[in-house]
Amino acid sequence: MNDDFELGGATLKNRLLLGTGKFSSHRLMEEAIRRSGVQLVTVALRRIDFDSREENVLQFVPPGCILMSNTSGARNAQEAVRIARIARAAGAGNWVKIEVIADHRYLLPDNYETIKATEILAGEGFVVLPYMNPDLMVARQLMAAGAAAVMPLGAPIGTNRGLQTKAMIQILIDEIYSHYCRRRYRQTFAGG
Amino acid sequence: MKVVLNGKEEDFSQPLTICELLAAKNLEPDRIAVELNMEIVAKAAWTEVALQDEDKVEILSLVGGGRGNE
Repeated sequence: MNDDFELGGATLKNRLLLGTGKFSSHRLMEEAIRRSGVQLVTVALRRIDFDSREENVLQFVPPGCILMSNTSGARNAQEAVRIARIARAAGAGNWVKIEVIADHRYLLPDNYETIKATEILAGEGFVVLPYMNPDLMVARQLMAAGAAAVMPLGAPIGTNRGLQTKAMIQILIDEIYSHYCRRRYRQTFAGG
Repeated sequence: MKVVLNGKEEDFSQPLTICELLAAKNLEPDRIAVELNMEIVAKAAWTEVALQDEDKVEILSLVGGGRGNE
């Protein structure tokens, strides 16, 4: 059975997308990437601290592993676009997880600003995966704006509540994924 | 010459290029990005772009991330 994971024009053999922010050391992270076989990891952009240097995280990410920078810290579309462009200049490649968060109590994403950022960055050749509140209309707008996929939240960040938005995410799977399948079918068999 | 570097004001006794600034800070030019007054400066231009008084410079790199709101 073909279980490839097609995402943003890449064909992945491994469905795990790994965050790299919680490891106690870069070496442990490298080991986790290697042993899990993960092919896509997320990274963040930070100012260099001249008083406290640390080794560059890229040195510990195996070659061939896709780097997806996030736009953590962005409060609006303009800031997200700025962060994504800088991250690309710093070596992150074209993949970006858009996070636009203006609410700092619940850390919920701003869907409207996320759509604006998606449109701009997709237009610049980024593979855009927006973190979003699971809303079907917004998901459709994000896809129309050029998102490679959407990343709906399962619960407010850090609440450890498990999957709280299951019904809403199921609607996205039913509608967005089926739309994707129909499009692929047309491309494959109807040449259109 | 005063330059705001990563949010902190720093004094330099003589004019310098971005390349010279990186050297003064013992930074390798790989895997970093430089923004000058909110505009990204392409690496190819680092040897030519000279900093001016009151310029705002940001030097950034990638770090571990992906736990939500870091």
